[in-house]
Amino acid sequence: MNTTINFLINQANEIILGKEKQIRLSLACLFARGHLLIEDLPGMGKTTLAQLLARLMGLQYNRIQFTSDLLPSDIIGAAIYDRDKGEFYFHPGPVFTQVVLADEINRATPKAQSALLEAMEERQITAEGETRDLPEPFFVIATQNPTYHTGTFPLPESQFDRFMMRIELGFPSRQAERSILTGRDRSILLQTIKPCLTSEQVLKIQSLVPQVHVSDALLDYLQDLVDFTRNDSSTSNGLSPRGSLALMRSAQSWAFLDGRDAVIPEDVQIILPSVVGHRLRQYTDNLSDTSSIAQKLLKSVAIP
Amino acid sequence: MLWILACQAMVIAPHLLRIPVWLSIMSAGVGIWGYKAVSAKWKYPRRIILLLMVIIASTGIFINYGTLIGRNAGVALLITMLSLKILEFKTHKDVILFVYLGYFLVVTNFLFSQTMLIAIYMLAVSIGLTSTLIMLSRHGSELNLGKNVKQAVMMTLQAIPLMLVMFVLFPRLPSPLWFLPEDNSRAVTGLSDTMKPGAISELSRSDAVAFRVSFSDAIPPASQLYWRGPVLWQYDGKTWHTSYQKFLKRNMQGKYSGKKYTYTITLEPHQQYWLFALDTPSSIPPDSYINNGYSLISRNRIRNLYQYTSSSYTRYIIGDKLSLAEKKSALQLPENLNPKTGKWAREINRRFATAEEKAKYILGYFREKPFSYTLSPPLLGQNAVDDFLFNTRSGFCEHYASSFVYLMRLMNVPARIVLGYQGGEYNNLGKYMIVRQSDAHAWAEIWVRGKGWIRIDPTGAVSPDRVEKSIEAALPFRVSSGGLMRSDNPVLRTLILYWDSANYKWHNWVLGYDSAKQSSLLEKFGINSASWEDIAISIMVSLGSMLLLIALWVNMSNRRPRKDPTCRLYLKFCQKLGRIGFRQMAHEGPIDYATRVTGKRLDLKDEVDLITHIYIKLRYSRNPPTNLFSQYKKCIRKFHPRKNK
Repeated sequence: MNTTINFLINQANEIILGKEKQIRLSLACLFARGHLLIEDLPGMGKTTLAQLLARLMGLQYNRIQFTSDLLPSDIIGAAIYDRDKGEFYFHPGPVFTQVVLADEINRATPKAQSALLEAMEERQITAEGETRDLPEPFFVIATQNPTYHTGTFPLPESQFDRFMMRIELGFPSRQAERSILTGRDRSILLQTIKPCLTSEQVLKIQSLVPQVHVSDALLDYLQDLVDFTRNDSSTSNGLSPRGSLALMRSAQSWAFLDGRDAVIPEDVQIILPSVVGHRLRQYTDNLSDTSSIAQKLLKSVAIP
Repeated sequence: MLWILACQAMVIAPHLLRIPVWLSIMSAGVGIWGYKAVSAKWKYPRRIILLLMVIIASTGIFINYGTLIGRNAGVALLITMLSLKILEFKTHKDVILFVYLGYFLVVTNFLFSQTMLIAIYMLAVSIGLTSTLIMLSRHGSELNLGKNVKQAVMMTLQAIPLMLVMFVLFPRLPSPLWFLPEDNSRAVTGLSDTMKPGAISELSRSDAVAFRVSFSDAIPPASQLYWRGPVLWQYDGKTWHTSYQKFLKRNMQGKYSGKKYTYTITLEPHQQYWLFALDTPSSIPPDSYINNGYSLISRNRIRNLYQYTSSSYTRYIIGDKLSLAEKKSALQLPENLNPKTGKWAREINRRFATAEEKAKYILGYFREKPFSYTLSPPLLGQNAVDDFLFNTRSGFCEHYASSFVYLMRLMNVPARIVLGYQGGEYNNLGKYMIVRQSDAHAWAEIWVRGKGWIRIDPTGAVSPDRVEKSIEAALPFRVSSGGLMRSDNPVLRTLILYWDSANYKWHNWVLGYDSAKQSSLLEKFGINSASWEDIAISIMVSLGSMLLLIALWVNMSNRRPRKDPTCRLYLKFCQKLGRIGFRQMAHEGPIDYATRVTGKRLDLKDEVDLITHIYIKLRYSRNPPTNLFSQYKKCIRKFHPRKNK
């Protein structure tokens, strides 16, 4: 299994250059059954990463481009009248797929954004009085522009909490950018790429991740971190239990990607900024601010 | 719930003998009802029934004690309320009230008894109650009983320094604020102020402690250990009384010589007024007098443990001038009794001139004729002295002393009986002497012109061992009632002495800690005139510093939590690396740390990586192999990084 995963990561590295950590983080997030939020400036390769992940995992995916006039029914689907049969039948929306690329999610109104809510947490959709299960595995990979950009609606906190991780891509290094400039078009490359996993394999991995051992010592460390966010004055509100669970799961997932059967403090430290950053975000909405909170957290809590 | 009931039982247990039987039965019944109400969903009684029960129980108590106020009735009433509260357990508040009532009842025990055992027991009970409180605040899972009790013990231990400060510094009043109502039913053990035949031999069966003495320096020889108590003057043919007594002035009219013994006596309560002193006392403790029998008399009845210091000389001349009234009472005799003795006395009187010769002759008579010393003498008839001297010839010290004084008086020699104790057991552990009721003794004094009152112990003539050693040696057979206390088993004996010594210290330092001791203790700390303000300040200062210490301790223990061996060894490893300039940051994980170190020091890579690898395995992975730890230990022990030049 590990060689497959390593191969997958290598493949991804060839498309998105110099961003191995972000790719690993995204995979860790998805293997931990979490949804992923990619936040950065336009043109940094957010959508490419999302598409790439879906393709490489061999999952069926739909893309929803969020705009300010997007309606909930555009996401969930709507009942449509069949004139031949003389009755309404449900026309499933683009959310009924294994990977949803919610592109520029903060461009839509809160109403449309919240349509994704139920899908993300419950992995089911209730429409027209009927609850329908979503396929397994189910991921939402959302991208968003920094909220200070014009024409954006900041995501409600409840929705923030539902994303296990939020990652930033950042500018590529000089060398990587050179390769982008000289190499082939990424969108064409993307088409040529072959899936490395099947959806069954993804489900298998998802079931293996929670079995990665978390020792008491590590749980102590985790809880110390969480307690710190709850008691420190620099964070407006502490991590929720969902947050601490996300922390543990993604650390497990990271350890799994590393081919280990136990979590070590470094796993927690590496995933921590992506897991807690958006949960502890204050209303300054400053990107650097969120990462500094995470850094402060890591610096202040000793490893027991 | 069971635990609460156990607490109830524990709280009530020491009172069981003091409360009426029906009350105990009621408490037990109510307890069972309460238990069933919780476990088997029995119904709690209605309010009106509860009220009825309260009224009935209160009436019962009133009938039993004749009052609802006072110590016994009050405690009984409290027990009733405590028990009935069980039937009202609806909310947490009820149970908490129950526990507080329990605490109060625990304290009431000290109104009855203040021994060390009771104190220890009470401590245990309050730990139990505290753990109930803990259980309540944890929303009552009884499964964690051990944990709760452990925490209660911890809390109690934490309270001890506080308790000590309060104990040492809390203002003491020179006299108690209130007197507890007297209870006539209390059994009196000890000498009484009359002497009937059989009285002392009865007392001798008791192992109860009469008093304890600690000598400030030397200890007199056993043959001089006569502890003087009341002096008996009047005889009615059967019983001796103390009827005649006159207080002497404080500067006593005795002439003393020889060695002075100074000692402190801790007297067990005997419900009488007299104090005991080594024959004969030369100084009078405060709050007491001395009478013309040279007995010390306390101003107050000895109801509680009483401690006083006195000094004595064993060589003395007392009462060298006999007043007329004294002479008259010292020669008083009942009329028309003991004809044979009278005849014999006249005979002796003719043969010897001086009182001392007569006494010597009588003692010789006791020694030569087959007189025996026994705890169970045969009964004497109407002419008791006749019977004893010529028929039964076996008796206890009171028989000898009584007939001796009778004879002396017949011969016109002033004589009297002294009650008290003779001997005592020295406790080497506590450096003090225990005098028990079994050491009770009676001896005689005769008055000789120019020499005053002379002690003559006729028992010594019959059974010299009684005076030289102890009552056990004097008796021809073992006293069965002596039992435990007179055990020959050396281990048991030592244990008993340890126990008594602990008890003595308890009495001395806990119960006997009064205002005088307090101020002398405070003086040692440089607080001379302990005013209320000073005491308040010192209480605050000591409590404050204690809190400070606790705060520091908590802080320290927070900073340095206890680590398991794996972690300790790893810290050692980090220290070793720290010495060569790689200090581990608190937030630095093991791999990051190892990478940082090996990045700069490639020569250490193998060792550091191995140790880090094993450490991670031991600390974070599931079921690490058992032999890994020893390898880990070895690796770290062998790891000696050197500084790079």
